[in-house]
Amino acid sequence: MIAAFRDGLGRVRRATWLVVGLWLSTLLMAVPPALVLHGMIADHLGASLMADAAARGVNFDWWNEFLVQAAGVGQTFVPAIIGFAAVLDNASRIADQRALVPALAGIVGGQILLSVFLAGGVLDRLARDRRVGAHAFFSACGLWFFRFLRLGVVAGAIYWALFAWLHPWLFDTLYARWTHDTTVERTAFLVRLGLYAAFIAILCTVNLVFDYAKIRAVVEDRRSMIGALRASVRFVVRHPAKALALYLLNMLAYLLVVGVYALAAPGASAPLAAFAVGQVYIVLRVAVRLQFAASQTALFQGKLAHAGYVARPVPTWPDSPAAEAVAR
Amino acid sequence: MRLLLQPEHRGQQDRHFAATAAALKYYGEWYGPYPYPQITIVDPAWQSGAGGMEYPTLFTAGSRWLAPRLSNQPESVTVHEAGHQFWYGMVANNEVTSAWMDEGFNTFSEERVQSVAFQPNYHVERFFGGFIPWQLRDIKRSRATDGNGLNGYRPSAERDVPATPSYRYWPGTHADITYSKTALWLHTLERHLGWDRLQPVMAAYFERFRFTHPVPDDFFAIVNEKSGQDLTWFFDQVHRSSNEFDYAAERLESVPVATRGFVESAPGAPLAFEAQENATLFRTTVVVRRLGEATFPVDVLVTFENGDQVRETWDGQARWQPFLYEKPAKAVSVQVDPDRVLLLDVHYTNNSITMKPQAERAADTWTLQWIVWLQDLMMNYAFFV
Repeated sequence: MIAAFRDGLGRVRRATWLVVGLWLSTLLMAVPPALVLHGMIADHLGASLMADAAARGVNFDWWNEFLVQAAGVGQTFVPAIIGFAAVLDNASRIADQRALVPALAGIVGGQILLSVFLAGGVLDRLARDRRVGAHAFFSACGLWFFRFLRLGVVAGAIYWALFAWLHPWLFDTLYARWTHDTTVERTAFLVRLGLYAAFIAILCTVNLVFDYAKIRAVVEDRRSMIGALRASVRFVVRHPAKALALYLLNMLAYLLVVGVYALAAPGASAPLAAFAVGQVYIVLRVAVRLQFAASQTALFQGKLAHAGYVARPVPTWPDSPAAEAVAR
Repeated sequence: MRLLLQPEHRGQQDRHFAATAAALKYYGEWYGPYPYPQITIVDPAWQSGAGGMEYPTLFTAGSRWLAPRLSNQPESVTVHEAGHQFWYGMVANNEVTSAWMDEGFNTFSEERVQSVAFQPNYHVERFFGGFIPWQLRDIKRSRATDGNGLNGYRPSAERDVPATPSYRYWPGTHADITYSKTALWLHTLERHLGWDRLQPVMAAYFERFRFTHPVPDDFFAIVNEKSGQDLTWFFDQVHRSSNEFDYAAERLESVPVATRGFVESAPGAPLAFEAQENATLFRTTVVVRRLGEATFPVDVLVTFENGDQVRETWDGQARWQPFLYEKPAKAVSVQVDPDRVLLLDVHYTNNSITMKPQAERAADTWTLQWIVWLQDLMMNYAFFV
């Protein structure tokens, strides 16, 4: 398990362009709504002297005035975006199932779709652990996209059930019942913490199974996603300790990145530094996400095949009919 | 002082005592002495629903298990409820019909105490079901706007006329009118008259009406009597009307003064039309507007490139008001109500115009920070893919 973790680290380190590419994709996805927000802020401030203070740091009076009239993306421009509060806000949003504003749901949906598209190329690259070139990478992306989309439908249905049924049952019904007569806030928090732990454990288990389903699909060149899912369950059931321990180790790496960002995140008075440090944090998050995939792939390959084994030959970009004609 | 504290709030006793002591000290100095030998502070149990309530010589406060220092909890509620010993406990208005008389006066006073005794005071966001606080040291709470509740009042400004019996207020916004609007207009009055003139008025009101049941007109009468001004016009605006205050700067332009006319270039020569721009003299036009229905006298401050400043006093009655200047420098900015006396102005951003706008820079600054938040959000959701 430790070997798989270390192997994963090495694979991610050797796939620097993957980290850079995925980081850039998050940045590029964020730019269009950011431009909309930029326009909203600039329009609201206009030629007002209030902009001077807002440019130097927080002008809370203006900010609140802006929020009262803000619509769409503008409604998400809240104090919780500052520094490490952003991380807490986003984690809390999932843990407490706070809805996204519709304007952002599309962007997040786009990011998820992009991630589904890139997943095949990413896993193929990490599984081979050698350079494959852009053509092969995107060829793998295209090859696996519709298969992972099918898998995504199953995953989406399960996640939907978890958030639509399990979460309200845990946090609206059970939590309310268990803390109804609680008079000590700390006790109520511990109950909630326990429920968070239970819900996150279930989420992570589902995530773990779908991770290995994708890995098995790519490494073993599986076409049936139901088959990949069943194979994934078999793998996790046969190696529960190693699979879970590796997942927890990767989770610790994620928490380490979050912890470092909590200490390093600058405040609003240093916007460029905040952006720069924020981007380093996002890069590290991307790397940790790849570390999950790389180390799990290494574990699977180590158990069932050998490091770097991928059943399918390196995908190649298909020649166009014109190229074939020229060749003739 | 006797404090009955929840065991889980052990460590916050000094904050409860300090807040209560500050309330009794400053209310005592400003309005009149607290006449009883004791006061009991009850820190209520979690979820009891009993927090933030006043009784003679006893009150319930309210805190959280995790309450960062230099934030306003538990100080705010403690000062507020201790303050009710004065406003409502001693000066006992009818809460059912005129709740603003104690809640509004007390919010105003509580925030005044906070601004004197508990600074700095930072904004706190709460996450994970509200249990986990995160203090934002970039956001210092201000008494004038955050403390008085301008944010709550802003969207509710026209919902109810404060003179309406309190029990008939719109339920969703009653607190914004009762607490916030009153605190805002009292603080506006403080800035308009000066604290050295308002404080004796409040002290006289307290002295005259303690252990009695005053009605709104009692307060208005004593303000007029003690301030030496007839402020009925002000109370008409803030108490007997739900009109909104909104002043704005609409135009600021400076152009070189042009000399135009028929000029006799030489004795006996025919007159010729000439237009000549004077590069050392500029005509500045300022137009300010009243966008809201409510009126209040405001200053207008025009600043010129050479550092000159002209401060006009506008009675704020007309819908718009021009100001013209011919000066050897261009104007750089205009501000309506530059000292922010009128805290009830619901849109202060439109009160100024500068020739060197920084909106784009501010938008750059904040968009960059927002991008990191959005990337993190997207990463969270994409994690499950």
